[in-house]
Amino acid sequence: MKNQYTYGNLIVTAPTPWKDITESVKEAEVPFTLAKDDGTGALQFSAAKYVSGKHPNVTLQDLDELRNDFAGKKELGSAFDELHSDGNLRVSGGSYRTTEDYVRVWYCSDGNNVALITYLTGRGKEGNEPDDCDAIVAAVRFG
Amino acid sequence: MKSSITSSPAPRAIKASHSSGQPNGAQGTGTHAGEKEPLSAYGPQIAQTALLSVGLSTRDLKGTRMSTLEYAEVVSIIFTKATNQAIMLGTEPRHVLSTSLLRTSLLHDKRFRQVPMSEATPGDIILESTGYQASGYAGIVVDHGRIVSMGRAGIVQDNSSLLEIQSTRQSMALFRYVGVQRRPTYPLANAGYNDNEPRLPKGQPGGGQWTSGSLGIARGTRQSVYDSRKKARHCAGDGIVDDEDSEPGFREEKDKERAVDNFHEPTQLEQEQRDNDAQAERKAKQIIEDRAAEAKGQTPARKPPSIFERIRQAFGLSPEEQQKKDNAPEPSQQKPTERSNVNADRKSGGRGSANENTKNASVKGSSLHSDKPGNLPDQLRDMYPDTNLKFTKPGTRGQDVKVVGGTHPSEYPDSNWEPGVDHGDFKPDTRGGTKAFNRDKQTKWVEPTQKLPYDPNTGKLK
Repeated sequence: MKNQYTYGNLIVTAPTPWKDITESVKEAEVPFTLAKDDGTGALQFSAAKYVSGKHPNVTLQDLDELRNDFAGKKELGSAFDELHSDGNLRVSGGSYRTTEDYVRVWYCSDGNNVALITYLTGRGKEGNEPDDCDAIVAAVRFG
Repeated sequence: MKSSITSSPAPRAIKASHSSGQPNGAQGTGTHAGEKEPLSAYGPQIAQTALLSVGLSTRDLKGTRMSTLEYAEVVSIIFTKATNQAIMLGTEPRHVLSTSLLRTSLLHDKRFRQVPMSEATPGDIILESTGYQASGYAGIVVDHGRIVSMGRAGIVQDNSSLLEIQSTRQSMALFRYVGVQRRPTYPLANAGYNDNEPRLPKGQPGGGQWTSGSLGIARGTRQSVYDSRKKARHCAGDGIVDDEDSEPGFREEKDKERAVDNFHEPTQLEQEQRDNDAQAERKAKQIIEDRAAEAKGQTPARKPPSIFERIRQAFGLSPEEQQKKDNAPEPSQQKPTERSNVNADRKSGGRGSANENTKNASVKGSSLHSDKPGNLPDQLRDMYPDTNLKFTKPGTRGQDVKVVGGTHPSEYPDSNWEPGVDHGDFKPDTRGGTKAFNRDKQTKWVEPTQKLPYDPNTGKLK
């Protein structure tokens, strides 16, 4: 069974164990957040919708560049388990380990719209959740 | 943002602060207590390149389009430009993004020496790393104690000094590139060497070892070695053809040279080549094992798919997989067994709740998404300045649920869900909840939406 959520222009389809916990997080600016009841990490989404102006024609290379830039600024270290998808939904993903955390980062685009998706959990606690997240990211659509 | 190149001040020539000698000369051994660290012949070159980069927008540095690079990345790019070496072996210059990782790498890299701050000379790399999510610092020392580093607005600058940096930042470390280390040669190394003693060629079983002395084998071996070496040299195009009479066999000097050549730390290219070779070898082994197993009538033992294979499967990267994915039914066309989330939520008693682990992860992860420098909005505004993008505000989202297939909720007995309404939103069954629902309906959603009231005390749907 799957749930479907819309966040801005982003349509996210997730297996039932992954639930929207956005409102239960006591933080001033919480992005749309999914987590499992018995999970360890949080999958979070940021979306940018193309409105007008020059079409950005976001390429996979651009997404790579954005991800590397992001990882650098956050001092996430070197990426591993990188993935690239150049289909209808372009995805550049990679995992990072800091001293405390495991972070997986995806930049997705359909050419015009862009989304940043992150999964964060304690280092060594990731288990199989990143696999679930990969599948959720692969099913993301822009509305 | 347009590329910007400010007028760069004329670079000053860097005085070579070392006396003379070859770049690698006599630097192979460590220094003793009380001795100063050896000066690097590369220093002036690195410093000169750093000064030549002053005034450049980091966007103009080859290999990137982003205008705000990391300190480490700028140092890495300048270093590679000066030495043609990767500052972190096996890592592309533009992928060196973390000062803490760079510092760790240099500490373990034999090409670099950590030197006291008091001995800073042009070309030395200064690093500060204060750990995860803290802003580290990296720069290159140039003349008069000045430092070239990434400046504000993405322009490479030389307006900071060692004194200033030391007084304002903690945990600074200085590294000197001393180049490829070579093993010192010793004059007595040839003692006992006999040119007539035969050795087996490299690439054959026992290659490089002295033979038992069987003349026939040895001569044949030596001849084949000679032939192959001649061929190799011919192929290499160095134009050197050994005279048959002066055929040197495997001279120890040659071996020593080779040993010395092999001793240096692998360059990035060499490392990649080694990795490729190792991968090819593993593949070949696997094929051989599979064929042997097939010959015995066994099914080849396969390893479980790697993480990459699993991810590729998940993303359908191959053309066939991609086509399959493209032809897959949309969520709304999913087969009836995959019921909508509404049913799932009914069964599980309402909206998702978070445990402490996921709550903590959410709080930490939220910092990666806010509209702050370096995050998505900032990145996109920078990368696509001529495009108007709307960023969804954190906390803003659509309805909680959407019917994506299966039996429509309105079809269930006693259901009060309106037919044709595919969206639903959970709200507490209170006056406030109703008010919030009506407000959201007016301001947030365009689709008809069903209110899904729940008991605020038990979380159960009504």
